Amino acid sequence: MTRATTTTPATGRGMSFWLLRRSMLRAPWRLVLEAIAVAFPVAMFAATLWYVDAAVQSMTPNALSSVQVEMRAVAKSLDADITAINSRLAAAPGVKLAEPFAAAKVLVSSGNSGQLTARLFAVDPSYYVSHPWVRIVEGSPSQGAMLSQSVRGAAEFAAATSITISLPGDAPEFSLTLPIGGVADLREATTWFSIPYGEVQGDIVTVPRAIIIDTKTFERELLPVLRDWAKKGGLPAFDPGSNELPSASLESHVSIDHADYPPDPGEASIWTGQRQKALGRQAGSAVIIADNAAEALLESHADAINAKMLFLLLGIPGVLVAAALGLTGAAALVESYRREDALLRMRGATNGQLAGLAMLQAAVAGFAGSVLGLLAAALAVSAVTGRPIWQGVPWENLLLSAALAVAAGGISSAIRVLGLRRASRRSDTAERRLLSHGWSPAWRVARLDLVALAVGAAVLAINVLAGGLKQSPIEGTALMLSFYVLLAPLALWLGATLLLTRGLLAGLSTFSKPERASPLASWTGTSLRWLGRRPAHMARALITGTLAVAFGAEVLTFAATYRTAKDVDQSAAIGSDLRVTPGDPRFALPSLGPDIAAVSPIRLVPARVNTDRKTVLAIEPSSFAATATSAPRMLQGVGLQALVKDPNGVLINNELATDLQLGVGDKLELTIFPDDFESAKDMQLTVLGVYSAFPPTFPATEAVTSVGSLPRAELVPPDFYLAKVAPGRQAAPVAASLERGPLAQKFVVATALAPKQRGLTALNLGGMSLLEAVGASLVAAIGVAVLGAFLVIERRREFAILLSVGADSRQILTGPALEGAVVVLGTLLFGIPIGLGLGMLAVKVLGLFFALEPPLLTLPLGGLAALAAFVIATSTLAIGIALAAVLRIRPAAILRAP
Amino acid sequence: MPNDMNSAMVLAVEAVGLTRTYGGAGARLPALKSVSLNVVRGEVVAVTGPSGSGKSTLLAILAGLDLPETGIARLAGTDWQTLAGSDRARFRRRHCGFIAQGLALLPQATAAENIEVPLLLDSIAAAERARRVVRALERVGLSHLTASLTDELSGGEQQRVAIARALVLEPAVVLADEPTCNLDSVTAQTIARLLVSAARERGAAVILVTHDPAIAQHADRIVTMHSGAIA
Repeated sequence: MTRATTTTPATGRGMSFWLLRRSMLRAPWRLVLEAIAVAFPVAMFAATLWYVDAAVQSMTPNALSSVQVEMRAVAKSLDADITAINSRLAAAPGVKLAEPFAAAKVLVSSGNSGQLTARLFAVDPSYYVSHPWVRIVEGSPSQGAMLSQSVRGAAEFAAATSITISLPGDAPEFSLTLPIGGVADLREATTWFSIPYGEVQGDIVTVPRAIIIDTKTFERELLPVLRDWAKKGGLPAFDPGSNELPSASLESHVSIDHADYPPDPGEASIWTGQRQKALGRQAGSAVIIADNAAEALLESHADAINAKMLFLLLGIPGVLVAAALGLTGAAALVESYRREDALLRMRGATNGQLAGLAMLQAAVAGFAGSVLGLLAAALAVSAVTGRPIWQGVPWENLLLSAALAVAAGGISSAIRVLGLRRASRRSDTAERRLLSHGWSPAWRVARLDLVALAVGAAVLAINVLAGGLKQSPIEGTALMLSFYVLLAPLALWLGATLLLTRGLLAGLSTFSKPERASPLASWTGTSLRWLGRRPAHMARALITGTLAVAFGAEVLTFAATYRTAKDVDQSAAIGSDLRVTPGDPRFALPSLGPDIAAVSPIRLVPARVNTDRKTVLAIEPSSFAATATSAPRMLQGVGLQALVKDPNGVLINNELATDLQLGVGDKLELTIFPDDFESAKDMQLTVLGVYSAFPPTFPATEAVTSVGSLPRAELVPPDFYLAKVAPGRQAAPVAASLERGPLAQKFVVATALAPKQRGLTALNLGGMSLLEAVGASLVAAIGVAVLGAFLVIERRREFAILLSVGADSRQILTGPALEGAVVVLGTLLFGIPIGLGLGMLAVKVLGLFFALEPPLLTLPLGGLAALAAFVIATSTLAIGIALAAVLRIRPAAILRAP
Repeated sequence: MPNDMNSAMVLAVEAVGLTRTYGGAGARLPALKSVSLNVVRGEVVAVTGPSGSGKSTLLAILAGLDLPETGIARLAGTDWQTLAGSDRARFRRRHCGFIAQGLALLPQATAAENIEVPLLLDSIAAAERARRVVRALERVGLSHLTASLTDELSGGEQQRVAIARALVLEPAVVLADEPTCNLDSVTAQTIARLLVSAARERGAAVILVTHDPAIAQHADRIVTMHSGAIA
């Protein structure tokens, strides 16, 4: 029962608050419905923004995972006191470790053998512990110099017990003989071989041979000689613009705890620059500080921007549909507000007071809905990310996102209240006139469906013609994603939904025209005919539900396709079922037995094109064709078949093709083994094709050719082998069996590689997809619930009349149940195909972030079935509650009312 | 019609000691106070009285749309209390034509469909339904408005359709709650005459709730209610 206060305040603000209190006491459910209408868009928007914030926070650790040494302090002169500098850097705030490092170009020999060029590195024994990517294969650094596997593999050093180090060229006479302590695997130690500064910072110089000695020996024996040589002008001076490894260098390798970096890559890239400057001040002017993390963080920052756009593409429709739900819900309140306003007018309330009351109600509902929405979003995001949102996202981001969400809720609330006020002023007769004059909402009159479809198609067409959907590297691997491309799916989503609804309405209208009406055939047919004459509420619920289900289906489909594409990327990274990597290049591959159908050796050949260092993937085309399981993504020309036919041909990646303006038929001039004096050779190969990805995609290579076309390459042992398992065999058990059997202790067998995925492709869309799909299902169900509420509120008299002419409960419920069923079925039949189409479009737009062309669509049948089941279940519950309320009506009281 | 003659005839409506109270435990408002009323077949009874005197409540109880707290309401010899669910609905559509106060029609249905609804609910064959609808529309003079929606009909036309619908299954009793309210006096008289004559043609009893003495004059008997009791 409702209550009303009897004491009426005079005028002004007091009157508005009195009216508000009275209205809330009379019908508290109205406030609840209004608060829910605000809560939904606020929750969807806040959840999207917070999830984006939380996801972006994971990008810094992802970007830093491949950084081996964060900062390198490189002495400008060999006279620098690197020990003191190292101590100062170690004491700097935030520095986890500062370790001395030295390198020099030397000659090595064993006994009476000839001399070979090699790179000498000097580190403390503790360096091996803190940097496990320098892997000790045999022996120990405490027993003497460590040889790289390639030195140990050279015939001169195969059985050597000591090594003699000397200096090349016009260096002072120097000779140092050290016992050989063991062998180290330096294949992963890319930092040691990368150019430490300048424009080509980070480029890898593949020096064929290397040895490692301890820092003390270096400082005692070699450094004085190098200083002397430098003073005499024989050793090249420090050149920060050089694109070669320095002939000799003194460094301090500075490790910074990754946990200290701001989690947002944009902030982290600023932070690391500040840290670089701070370390520079700490170390003094004798060194320059090279920041190895900056490039990865900048790249990740670009990806973070794209990630935000990706998430907004996926999330914004959810916010819009949640806001639309509020507008649909307002329709259910019209009758109630009309009665309330009429009653208040009879008691002397003015239009101004009623407007003030409406604003107050909206403010109260807005506040309650915003709080409710933010709480729901915080709980949902915390649940799917597995940690409280306030721990994963900085407070300022949380507050900004919350403010944006509340603003969105406020806008939707204002639109809703205006519509409600306008509708509640319309007379009851005017509402009924819609029956005879047909329902013509603004979108139908303005043909918004056709306009939206045209806009979506035009945006897509312009983008396709402008190449907007093709991969376009901006810098490195960063890609640009135009925001307006993302408008196309939004326009098509709305347009398709409205067009299908228009079609359904047209069909129903034709079927139910009074002048064409035939005698009633059945009670269900009659209910359907009557539905066709007043489809407004059904259509509103159908539009809301279709938009919501289409959105949910799109998100689920996109997330599933995204997962498939990531799997394809991983498969492309390894190149076949198995990758067999020798622990030492000297190990020969034994027979792998009947579980393996084909094996192909892979060599990564260092090369130089102009001044840039590149890596060429040297394959044996015939065995490769039998072994590879992923096809390359070719942009021009043909792939592997061309290499089989033309042994002097080469396939190049699109970056190289763009940089050098090369196409099919052009000549690529390169130097292979450019940093190996004994093996370097200039070559000219014919470009046979341009690819955007050629599996194995990890490590990245810029060109692919037949090993037969590269002199000496065949003499170099393979870096790894691809192996394809026999038909009917599973890769994982075969890998385990090989590692236990013929490859034991000598080879590593990998079945899946986690390639250095770009930040965007490493994102976890699963949580986002779950959030949005559940939100969409709830929106669809609440759309049906609003329809149910409308039935209970506005059609009570109609049900009472039916009761009075002798309809039983089943017959009374047929109409509303049919209406609910049409909405739920229409929602699914329209929504899922639209969602799949949008999913396809989203995959097309976002597909350029993947190494290989993503599949057209991966149908998440389980997810879609769950979505449909959830919508059906929640809608059935909603309509069931409404039907139960219909059965509880008191016909005597309703019919007594005029 | 004199009471001594009524007793010799078949009772169409029999109400004995009906009481009905509205409101909760705090403020209970008695709507009917032990009301008894008998109406025989073919008799037309007008129930008059001021607003709030209990006329509409009495009619709702006689139509089985509400139940009394005490007393018995029988229609065509059947106590409403003994019926429930679809039995009650079936009994109502076959034996009781009801004309509600104000808008009594289904707004989404045409005139013909409004009349056809009780026939369809009673599973009468399509051909028979069509025949009866045509006859009912002819009887109330609306053959030309078959396909008109409620909103396209005047107030008088709407009430004619309501009368046709109430009588289409030839019930024993017609209960009409203020069927002429909101109509001008000429139309009101026409509608009242139509209702009474159509009911008499079928031998149906009519209980007509009205506050208009001019309309009440069409009845065989006038019953006046005051504060929930027959005066």
